[in-house]
Amino acid sequence: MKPITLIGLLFVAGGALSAQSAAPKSGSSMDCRACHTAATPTKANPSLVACPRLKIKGYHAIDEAPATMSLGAEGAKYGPVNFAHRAHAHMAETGKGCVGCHHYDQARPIQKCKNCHAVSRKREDLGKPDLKAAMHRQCLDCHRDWNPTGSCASCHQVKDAVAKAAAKKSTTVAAPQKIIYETGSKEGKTVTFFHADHTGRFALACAECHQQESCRGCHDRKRIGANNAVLTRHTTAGITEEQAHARCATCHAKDECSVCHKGMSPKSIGFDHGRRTGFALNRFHAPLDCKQCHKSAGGFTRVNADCESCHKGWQAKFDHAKTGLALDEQHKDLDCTSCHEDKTFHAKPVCKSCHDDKAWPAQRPGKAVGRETAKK
Amino acid sequence: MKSQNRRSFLKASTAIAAAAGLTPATANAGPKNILSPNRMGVLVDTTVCIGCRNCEWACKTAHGLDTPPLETYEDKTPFDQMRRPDTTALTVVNRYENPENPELPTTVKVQCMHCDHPACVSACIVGAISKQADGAVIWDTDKCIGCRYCMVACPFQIPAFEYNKAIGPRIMKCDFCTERRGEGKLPACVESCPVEALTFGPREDLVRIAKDRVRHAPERYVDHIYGEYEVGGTSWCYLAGTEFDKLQFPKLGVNPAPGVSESIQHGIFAYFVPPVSLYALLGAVMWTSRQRGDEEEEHS
Repeated sequence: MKPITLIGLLFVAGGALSAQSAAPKSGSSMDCRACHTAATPTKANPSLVACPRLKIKGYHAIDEAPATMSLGAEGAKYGPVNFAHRAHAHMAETGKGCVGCHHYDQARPIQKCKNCHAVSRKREDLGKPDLKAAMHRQCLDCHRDWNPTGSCASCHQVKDAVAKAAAKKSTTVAAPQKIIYETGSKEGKTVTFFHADHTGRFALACAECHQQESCRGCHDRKRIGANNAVLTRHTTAGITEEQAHARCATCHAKDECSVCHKGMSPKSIGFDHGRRTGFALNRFHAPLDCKQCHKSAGGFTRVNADCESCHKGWQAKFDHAKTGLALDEQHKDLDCTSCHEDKTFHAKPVCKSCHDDKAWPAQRPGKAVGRETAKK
Repeated sequence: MKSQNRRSFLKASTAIAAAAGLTPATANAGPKNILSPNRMGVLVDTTVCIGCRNCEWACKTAHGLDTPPLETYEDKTPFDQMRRPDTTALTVVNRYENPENPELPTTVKVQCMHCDHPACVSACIVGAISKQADGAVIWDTDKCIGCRYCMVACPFQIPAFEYNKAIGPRIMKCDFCTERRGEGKLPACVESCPVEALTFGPREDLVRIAKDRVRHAPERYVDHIYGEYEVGGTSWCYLAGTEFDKLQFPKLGVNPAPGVSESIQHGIFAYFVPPVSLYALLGAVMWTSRQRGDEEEEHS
């Protein structure tokens, strides 16, 4: 027994040691959890996260990032690129964020490109591009969009003064004055978005509205010089109603539809509320603005169909004459549910529970009044 | 018993030898024996290529061919027509429409594919073209007699002939920068590519890398490595985002190209057909003419 216990002890000790070595070293700037899901990953079960493209979150603010960087080596004709890093980082906020360029970079601090990409093209690991190719690909991914000639001088410093003068810079952002969206409905045909007011008067940063944007979305070669243009967009083309609303919803979620869609109600846009939701709008509900019932922010969530959910304590002060039937003395003080048993007030009332010989609508529990008179 | 045994053995071996000798030659011209498993290749990723044509310039410079300065290559008008490699340019880049994004067309570099079983090597009657162990298919100016069989044999129509030279015309085609590589340098085109659309390395590694790329980005590539199996495999392999026939890649089978040219050549020369038929023809001519002579003699 003794030797077996000894071996057992050795195993336990060995296990403890190896577990210790897997624990993070003090002073390491790496966060283990950037790659491992478990606190103590083992060799057998490293419990790696779905590597490698993770989002860099909250590592640092953009303004802490370098403003400009000098990229690339000095060549015979072209100098390095004066890369406006901070400006690109701000632009990236409207798109993929830092990770758009700093891929495979889930651990702090942000890695240098050459930590992974070999400086020399002649190398062992051919699986990833070398440094020069990686950088060119990274930049050209977007810059080729508006620079299809692939002119080196559009990024690189040019030594030749003549070529320098001819070098084209990337396009300026062509922000439109206003955008008119066509909604495709009869009333509230268009939504006019005053872009210039939002960026100017309300001083909104681009990224506050523009998310998941491609570079081309703003730097459109075809729209150069179109700053004062009035653009017309069809919201129905290719995107869902929800996507069309998403941008405005950040601020306008609680606003009524008619704020953007002038004179708009479910009926006016041809939305069949009864068929689509199972709650047909009667003549009182139809002209209301959507937001009067759908109060939650964002999209249109289901509203409790029980009248009480909106009209608190309505039964006590309800004037039945408004429905076109003024109740007689016998029925006036009855509880609503005595006749409207299942709370569906627009359905036929039930007479049978009290009167064997009476039935709606041959006999009525009151006097029919004109709707017009009832309103008065 | 013993002698009988020997006789039967000899009979059998002659029969086998005869059968082997007389069987029409199948595609065996591919120098399989010299192909090194570490032979080099280039992977061309057409989805990465930006059409800068730096490779064209680098190739001309490395091979001492006339070229205008690099800046002039920013001019994209040569793309307006389809070009082929010729005696003045051993590689050219062509442009094809990209249906998904008309603003970003697909560009494809064309040069010798450096087949593993080259038809040109098989067709060359003086052995001027040879396949090297490292993958390159190169041409020896001292041996060439200018028959241009290689031009006909090549399934990619790559070799070009200097028709304009009366004395010492050469066959011109990509030589995989054999000289540069001997100095430890990369092929000129590979070195000059700004985005590394051309990856130089052992062919086996490149095929593996190509498969990885397709697996990781199936939306970017068609699941086909052109050159992996075409005409028995080529040293240069291609990846593309659209079907290869839309990029004017010839649709070729997996059988080595020499199979076709060799079976024609060997078919003609098999069983001593040309000499036998020649002598038969001469014999027939002699026989008929002598008969006619005899008749004439009889008549006179």
